[in-house]
Order: sequence, then structure tokens, then C-alpha cells
Amino acid sequence: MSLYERLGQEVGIRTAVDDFYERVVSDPQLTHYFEGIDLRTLRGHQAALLVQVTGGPVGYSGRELAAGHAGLDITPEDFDRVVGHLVATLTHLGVSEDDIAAVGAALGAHRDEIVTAPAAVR
Amino acid sequence: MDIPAMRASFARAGAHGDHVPLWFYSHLFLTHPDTRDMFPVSMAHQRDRLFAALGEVMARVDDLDALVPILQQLGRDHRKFGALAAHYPAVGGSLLATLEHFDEEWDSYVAASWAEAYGVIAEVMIGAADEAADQPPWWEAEVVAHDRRTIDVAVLHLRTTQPLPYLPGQAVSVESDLRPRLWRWYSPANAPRPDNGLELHVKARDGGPVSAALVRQVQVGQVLRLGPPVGHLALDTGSDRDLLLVAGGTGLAPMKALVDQVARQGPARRVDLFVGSRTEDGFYDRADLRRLEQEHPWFTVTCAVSHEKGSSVEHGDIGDVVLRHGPWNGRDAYVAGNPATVEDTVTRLHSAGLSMDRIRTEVFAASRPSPTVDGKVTE
Repeated sequence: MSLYERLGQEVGIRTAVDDFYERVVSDPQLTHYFEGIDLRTLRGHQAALLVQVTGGPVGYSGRELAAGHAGLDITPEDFDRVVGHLVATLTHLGVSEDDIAAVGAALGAHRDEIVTAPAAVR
Repeated sequence: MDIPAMRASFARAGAHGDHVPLWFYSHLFLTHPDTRDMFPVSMAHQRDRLFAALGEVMARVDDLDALVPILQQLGRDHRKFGALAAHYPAVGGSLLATLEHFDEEWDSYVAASWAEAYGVIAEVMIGAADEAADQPPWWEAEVVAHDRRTIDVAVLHLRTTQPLPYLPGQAVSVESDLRPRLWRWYSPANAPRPDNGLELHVKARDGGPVSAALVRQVQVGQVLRLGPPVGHLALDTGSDRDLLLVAGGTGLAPMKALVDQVARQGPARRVDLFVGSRTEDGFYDRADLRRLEQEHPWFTVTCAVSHEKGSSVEHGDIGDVVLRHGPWNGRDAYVAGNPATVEDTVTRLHSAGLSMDRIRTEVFAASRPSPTVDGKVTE
């Protein structure tokens, strides 16, 4: 069974993505990234990306990740906060450790396409 | 480093219970998927371990003198998991992220304390692992005999392919192909031998995957893996006082190793061993103890049962029986067994006048997770 199937195929992944964005956009540290963004479209892109990297049908027609995040000046700290929300979603939905590692492996390659700003000076 | 603030933060996070280690491992595996293979297939028996150990260690960084030797042992021990220097920041990052997620009062001040403490700990562990680079990360040991002594206790005789240096009284972790990547601690019941033979005493615990497999499934000829030795129950080399040894259950194993050491290396001294059990059926090693008693005029064994009237041995809690045979004020005392037995015996010995710095203990609890910071040397 592919990871895509274990996550509940498209329905399961859409549920996860909805849960995930609820957490992300209600985080005061992150909410500014989403001002003026059409969340419905964004969720659709995210779900399509996840479907694709987990072994589901190829359907990610959004702009390339790097282009999509360019100009947002996403810091490593904020990226890590988003990772925390994804952890919360996946554990909340009862995804197994093996599948979480597989999601991590599938998404991990894309970190550098998303983080474009240097770490904040503390 | 603000240690009280760190303890408070760990306690606030810990109040969220099982969610905390679950979140921790999820974060670790999501951010560093390559670490997944270092952990058991089933995480059910693992979840509370690493996180709990981290918390315990971190909360004690104010006592580095006591902590450093333990961390060095842990660092050497972690080589068997394939832990590399690069994995330490991964675990540290997930630890801090977990605390931040669950601690409602988390701030940059306490975050900096945790980061500093973790840095110190990782440095000590990595340094010790590097120094042990000339040793194997684990030793292979063939099962040469498997002797099922009672319904839930087996005595295993192993032989390592290479010499495994350890001090009698120390413990090694054991893993088998029957339960991959699950390591549990057992104390060899003998001093190191020229033929690399080791005797292990294993009690099958309810729900204990490793102990049950070692008692009921393992076959002669199978190969187990043993980690490097840990623990501080070893004989005080600065003392030639006579010994009082007290064992409950498979706590007998390290005591037998100490007897073996006295027999092989001296110095000549009296050794009195007390073995406690609930019922007479629990004395799984009586024949060998009798043999040792006959071979060594300086050695006596006294068995006592706490829950069986009319048996042929003495009756009473082992701590009581020990005191009945006292006084022991000139002795060095070593106590190993379940937590209640150890605590009760130590309390009685101390109240009977034996100084605490002459009492060394090791607690044998179900599923001993790792060398504990407490309980090795009772002060």
C-alpha cells in the first residue's frame, strides 16, 4: 500500500490539509503570510502537492514551490513553526511514526525552496 | 543556565502526558526521517523512554560531577543505535520544539537555558563516543546454553566473539533478532572470563517483549547483540572490608558476579549473600549457589521467603532476615532487586547503623529502561 493510500487517499489528505491550515493561519506569528491569500486555492495546492509526493496521482498544477514562496521572506524560525503545526496535525489524525517519517522524507527535499530569509538575529 | 526554570518548564510540558513523547517522535521523524530506522519497529515500548531520559538528565545538569560519567556511558552506549554526532542536534531541535509546543509559558529565556544544557550534554556524549571508536559499537554473543529454571526465569549462557570488558556488577544491554532494536539491560552473573562466557538471568515480565522472548523463544545457537557495559554497582576497589550482598529476584545476577570477582581476584574477605523471594519456587539458582558455598569457605548463602509459611528456609522480608543475622557495621553492602526490596533493605541497614556511603544499590524494575541517574550509588 502506498503512503498515499495509507493516509486515506485524497479525502484523507484533504482532511489533514484543512486541519493543518487551521492551525497555521491562527498562529499569530504566521498569520501575516496569509493576508490577501485565497486560502481555498492554497489548500488545494497543498493537497495536490501532498497527494503527488506521497505516491498518489500527479496533479500538482500550481506554480513551482520556489516561485510560490519567493518574496515572502520566510525565515527558518517560521518554517520550523509550520513544521510544528504539521506534527500536530499528523499526530492528531493518528498517522503512524513510519508514515510521518515518510511524509518528512517526501517534503524534506523542499525546505530550501521555501526558506528564503536568513535566521532572525536574537 | 536557569535549572529551576527548566525543571518547571519540563513539568508543565510533561503534564500533557502521552501526547508529549508522541509529538516529540513525530517531530523528530518528520524533520529527520533518517532517524526512524534507529528506533524499534513498534514504538509502543519506546515512546516514554528517550524523552523521559532526556528530561531526567537535563534536570540534573547542575550536578555535572555526578552526571558526566553517566553521560559518557550513555554516549558510548548510543553507538549501538548508530547514533552519530549529526543526530544530536536533530534530537535537541525536536526536544526544544516539543517543550515549546506544550509549555504555555515557554519564552526565549528558558529556550536559551535548554539549548545550552542540551549542548553540554551532547558534547559529553559525543566526546565519549569518539573516544570509544576503537571498541565495537556492540558485541555479538552466541547462546551456548538456555536453561529454563522456573515458569518465568531462564539462565542463559552466552559467548561473545570478542572480549567484552566490564566490571562485575555492571550491566549490558541485550538485543535479539526476535525483537529488533529493542535493547534491555541485564547484569552478567560472572566476572569476565578468558573464554568470553557470560551468564545472564532473565525474568519474563508481563508484556515485556524482550524478556519474554529471551525466556521462552531464544534457541541455542542464536546470536544476540550486547551493548557496552554501564552501571556503578562494581566493587569499591579502595576497600577490603567483608561484604554483605542482598538480592531479590534476578538482582542475584550482579551479586553472583561480585562473588565470582572475589573468588578470582580477592582480596580475601568474608562474603555473606542473602537471597529473597516471595516463595521457595523463586530460588531459580539454588544448586549453583550451593556449589559456590561448598567451594568457598569464606562464602555463605541464606535464602528467605516472604510469602510462604512452613517452607524449609527462613521466613520474612529479606531486609528483616538480613538484620536478624547482623550486625553488619563492618561491611560494605550491595543490594539489588525490585524497588521496594532495595528501598526497604537500605532503610533497615542504615537505621541499624550502616553508613549510607557503604551501601551500593541497583534497582531491577520491569523493563529497566537505561542506567538511572538515581539508585546506582546510594548516598
